[in-house]
Amino acid sequence: MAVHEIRRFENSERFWHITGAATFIVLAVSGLGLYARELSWLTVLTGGPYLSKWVHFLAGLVFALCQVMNFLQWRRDCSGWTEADGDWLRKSGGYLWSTHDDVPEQGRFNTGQKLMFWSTSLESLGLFATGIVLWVPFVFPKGIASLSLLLHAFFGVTLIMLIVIHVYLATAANPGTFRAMWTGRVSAGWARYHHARWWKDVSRP
Amino acid sequence: MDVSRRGFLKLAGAVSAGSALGGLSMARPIHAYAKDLPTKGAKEVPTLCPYCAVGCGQIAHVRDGKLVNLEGDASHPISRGRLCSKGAATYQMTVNDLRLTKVKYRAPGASEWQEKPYDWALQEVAKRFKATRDATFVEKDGDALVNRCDGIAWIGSAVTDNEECYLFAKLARSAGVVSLEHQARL
Amino acid sequence: MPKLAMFVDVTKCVGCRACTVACKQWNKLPMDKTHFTGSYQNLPDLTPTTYRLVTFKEEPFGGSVSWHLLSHSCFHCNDAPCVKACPVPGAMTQSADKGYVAVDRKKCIGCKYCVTACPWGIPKYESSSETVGKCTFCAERVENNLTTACAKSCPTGAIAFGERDGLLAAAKKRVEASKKIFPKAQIYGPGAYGGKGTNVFYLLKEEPSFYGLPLEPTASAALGFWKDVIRPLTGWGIGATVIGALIHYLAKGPADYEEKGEGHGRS
Repeated sequence: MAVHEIRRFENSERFWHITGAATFIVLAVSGLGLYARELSWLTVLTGGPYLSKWVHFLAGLVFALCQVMNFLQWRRDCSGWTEADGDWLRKSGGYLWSTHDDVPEQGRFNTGQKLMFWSTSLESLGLFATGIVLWVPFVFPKGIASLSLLLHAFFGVTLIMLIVIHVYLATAANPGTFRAMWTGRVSAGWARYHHARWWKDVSRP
Repeated sequence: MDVSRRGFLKLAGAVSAGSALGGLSMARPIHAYAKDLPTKGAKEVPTLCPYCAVGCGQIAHVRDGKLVNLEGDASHPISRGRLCSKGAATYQMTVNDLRLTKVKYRAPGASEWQEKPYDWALQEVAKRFKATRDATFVEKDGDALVNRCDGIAWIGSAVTDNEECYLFAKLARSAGVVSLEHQARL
Repeated sequence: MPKLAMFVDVTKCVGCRACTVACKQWNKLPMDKTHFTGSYQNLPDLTPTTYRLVTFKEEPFGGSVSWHLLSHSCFHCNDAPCVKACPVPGAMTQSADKGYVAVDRKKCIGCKYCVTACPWGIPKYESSSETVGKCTFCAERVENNLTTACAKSCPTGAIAFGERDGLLAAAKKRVEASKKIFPKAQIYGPGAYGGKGTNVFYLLKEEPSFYGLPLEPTASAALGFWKDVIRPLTGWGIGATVIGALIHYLAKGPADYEEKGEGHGRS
């Protein structure tokens, strides 16, 4: 273990995020398997088309709960828009153009993470609402049911795309980041590099 | 856990190839419903609809002594395969969960049904039919010889076929029953 | 094999319900409990175990009452929206040559996409079996060169079964003759979906709305947008995201905080 280790995530934070991530994988696989006939072969991973329907439904309920908890535990850290956030966005966080050195110092979550938080939260809400409609479509007006079919597919696909970006940024793109969620701890160097403002806060005696 | 550079490249390549294929294969649904008929290999028995006096032709599909299907006989000169709603329902005369398969007996004055053996029921019907017939048989009305039985009325069932109806009518008339009717005339 | 169709001529229908009974009998469907609703109609709507139903509508007619009967089941649309929506291979299928639409209840998983997709509300979901039931055009019979059960039993010939082109021509002739008695007589079905049409069509005595049928039945735009626009883009969208990450990784590489950090290495 390195000398300077900082606790980044509480156990409860990790529990809800990791459970949510696991159910998301199940949801993405079973959801794509139930999405179109060409992808039906994916349902072998979740027990065939019929069981996938139930797996998707039940995993969806667990995921909804996880996302509610994630929202509640991180909404304060992910709220607030400052000049620094605009600056971060203009410089693409140093990921595409500009370099890391130009990017303003970040708090506990950087601007990109905040945007990820809000977009995934809203999409999860949309997926939950439309998913409930799809489970019992006959109690809703026809227009709402068919719109839900469309929106559920749209939200699902875009959420998968967002999570692909999220996973990339948390693993290959930024070494040491996956450990933050997996063990709850980060090195001081990582903290200072990625979240300098937060690092100053937590390392202050 | 840090993903190795080589591992990440491999994974990324596989996922993008897989999803590109998923987008390409916009296959149209192919029809795959061709199946054998449920009546395949069943014996076709021509018969007549029991319900009314038109006598539409029917074909009963029988397999291993069991009725598997029943529909109109397209070669029948009267009906040419057509059946009304009652005739089309002839199948469920035989194959029906609601059909009684045991004799139910309710004694005079009783409110409960009891199950009885078939032989007992047949004997009892014969006995009481004979007793009623003997008790109410009228030989003469005034001077006229009538030989009729006023104490019995007889109604034929619609689930009996033409030949059975003939025998029932014979039996009823030989006993002097005058009030003889059949469901198809009601 | 040419396209097959059924043509229902409501001017010939006498409401005997032989078609519904023959349908139940051939498909070995259990009974549905009926309740008296003040009409001669048996059930208010199709059910998962009633694929065909005659609707009875009573209207005052010259001091008396006239019956408007409509023996209806699935319309077997060309390019059917239910088939488009179905996510299970082989569950809801359309015959490529004969044109009918059939559901295989052994493969159906009860996702109810088709229930949402159908503009007529024909497929009905059965919660006990978690499947959807609807008219199958007597697929086994049709594939073995037999007529459908309902068309075979119809005593008045109101339900005609045969090749689509021939029936369409017969229907056009019949509608001209019917107009003399029923001025609003019209053919319903072949013009649906902007001309793609259905394989079961009707000669109606009145406007479609009179029978509770939509005047311009269309597959919902949402379904089309999902299946024709978003679905083809899905693979490319997810693929592009992954490839984007890949390119980024190759071009920019992983962020290396060690140089900027305090010198504490990765654990």
